[in-house]
Amino acid sequence: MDREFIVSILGVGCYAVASFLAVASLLGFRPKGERVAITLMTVGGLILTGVLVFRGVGFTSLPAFNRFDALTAYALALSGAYGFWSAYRYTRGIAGIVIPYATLLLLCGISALKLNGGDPAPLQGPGMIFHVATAYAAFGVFSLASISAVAYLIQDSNLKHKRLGVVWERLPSLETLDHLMSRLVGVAFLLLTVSIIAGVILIRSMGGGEEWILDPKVLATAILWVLLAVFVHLRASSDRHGSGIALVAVFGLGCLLFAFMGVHLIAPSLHSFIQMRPMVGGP
Amino acid sequence: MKLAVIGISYHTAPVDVREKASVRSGEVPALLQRIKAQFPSSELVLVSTCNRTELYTVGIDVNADKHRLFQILLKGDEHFRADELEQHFYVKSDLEAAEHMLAVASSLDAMVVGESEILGQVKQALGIADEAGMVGKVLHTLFQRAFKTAKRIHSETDICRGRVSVSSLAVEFAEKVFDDLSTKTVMLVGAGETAELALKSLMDRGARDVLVLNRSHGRGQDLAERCGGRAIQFDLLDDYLARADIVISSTSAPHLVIHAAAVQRAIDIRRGKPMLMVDIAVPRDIDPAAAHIKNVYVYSIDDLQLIAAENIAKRREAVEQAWSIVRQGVAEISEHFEGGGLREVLQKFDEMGREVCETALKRTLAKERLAGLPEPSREEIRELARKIVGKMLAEPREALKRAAKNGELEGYVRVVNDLFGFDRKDLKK
Repeated sequence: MDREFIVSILGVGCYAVASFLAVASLLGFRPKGERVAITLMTVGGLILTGVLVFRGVGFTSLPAFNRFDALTAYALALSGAYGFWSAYRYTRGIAGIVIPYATLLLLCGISALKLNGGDPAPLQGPGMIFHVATAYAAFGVFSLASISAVAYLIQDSNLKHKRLGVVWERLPSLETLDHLMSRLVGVAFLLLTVSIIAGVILIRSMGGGEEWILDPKVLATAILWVLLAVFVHLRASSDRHGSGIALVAVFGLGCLLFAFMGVHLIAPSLHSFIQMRPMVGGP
Repeated sequence: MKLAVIGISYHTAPVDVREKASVRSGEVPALLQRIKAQFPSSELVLVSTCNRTELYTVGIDVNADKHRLFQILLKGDEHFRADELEQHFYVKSDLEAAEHMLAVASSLDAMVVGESEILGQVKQALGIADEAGMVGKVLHTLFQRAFKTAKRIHSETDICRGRVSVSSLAVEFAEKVFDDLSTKTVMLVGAGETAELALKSLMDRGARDVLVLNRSHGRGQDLAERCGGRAIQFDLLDDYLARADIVISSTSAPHLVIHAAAVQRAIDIRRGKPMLMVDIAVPRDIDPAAAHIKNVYVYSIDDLQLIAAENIAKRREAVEQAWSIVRQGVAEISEHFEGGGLREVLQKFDEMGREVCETALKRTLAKERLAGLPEPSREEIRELARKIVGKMLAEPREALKRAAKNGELEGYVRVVNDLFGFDRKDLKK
């Protein structure tokens, strides 16, 4: 087994243990396990960031055009958003949903570690890095918003049905989750807008045309952007709250997963990171 | 350690007796000074709450001086006969007193087992006594152990989990729906006693904006003035409903007061912002159909009582576990106060045994007629001497350990020191 694989497994292992602890904490088996889980997630995140950097340097291209790279980058963006947010806001209990979701993404990705990226990205450079980085950041932040929405719906159901158990006790209040959700969607909308603008500028600079505009991934991302815009409008202009808007955010996660991965299973895309040719070269 | 507690609590005395012994926190230092004046070498802490007044002492023979202490605690009230005082007050000493302190701080002795206020009150009592210079090494250690034990019990058992009163449950629900109660509006419909208690609990947690609606507007105004809120005409209820984040209803109306349609209108105006509705009235004030409206959380008195009963049952289950932690705490205290003395005296025993044995062996084996004795035989003699000394000291050692367990070590140590002359030897050294 090569070193890269072992180190990646180590990183994913940290996430797996963190998931176990975070879920146990949410269910009340290890009330103090959440802090350890977040620490382990951070350690795993740093290890996997190292792996991505190493792969990027080895391939001399952005480590984002392979299933492993893409899913790992997405999981890291989500973990980073959670780590950042939890330092400022009361987010106890949400780790029990965030970390297992990130671990699931990593497990789906690790099976593709030995597969090469698709065709090298036509453009490498600061513009491309900016476009990809903002897109992943938007996906990570929006996923966290959707997970807050899931927590909101769980808490709503607990309150409605008077299930006042450990999960009810450990998750934050509805209002906290509602704030978290709306702030995060706002940030995600901004990041996705910037990423799309950067993408358009990149296409212009390489003389690309309609094939990019009609690319299934671009279309799916545009739908996601519209959904985020609707959410932002519902909150900022109509001041909508409650379980209805939480459902919109959860639906948004479905759209995100479709735009991110599902679209590649239906139609070929110019954003070809899901290709699965065996690796040729690399570090 | 001469630790003792002398006290009166809801277990032993009705409120009219307890209130005579009750001491406001501002009066505690003066009372402690009065006791200290009579018992200058004592350590003192006075814990006074609505359910108990207890004086923790070190260095006072409470059994001999209890009547003096009763009088001081009752502030000179001489209406009670001696047998009445004996009946109302309890006296516990040494480890029994330590166990009582741990049980009190952990809320195992409280009227509502698991309520958390008592720990704060005990901490405050220690702080006041400490500031007045009444706390020495023994009481400081005891109280710190008590806080540690209480913390363990709170974190390791379910004794504090779940609220058990209607008012505290209302607060708990409010805190699970809203982030910051200070920005929320509480609407009180009807001015029942329980609703007022719930309002008070919410205000204690930061709620400031209060609307009071009562059929008797005058009574509503009185309550609104008391809680710094606004009194609203009762027939404007539906108009004001949308402004309320939390509604507590407790009218004595024989019919529904808040209809589902009105709640639906309110939630539409609120654009889905959650609304918590607590219905304490019997028969119910809030239309049960309102519970099916999205973002509205309705709790009736039955729901609250059911939850309270479940929480009480959970607490009861945790009581045994909590007591075992208290017993561990008491064992640690015993070890701390008496274990050190025990170790010291056992060490002295060992040293003495070794010294006696070695001296006797040295003298015996140095005799000329034993000079030719082979080394294995000499070793056997040494071994025999050690065994004899060991056997002789075994029973006293066990007696000392038993005394330590029973809290009688101090007396035993004095006798042992006297019999074996340990003190004199220490002085020589």
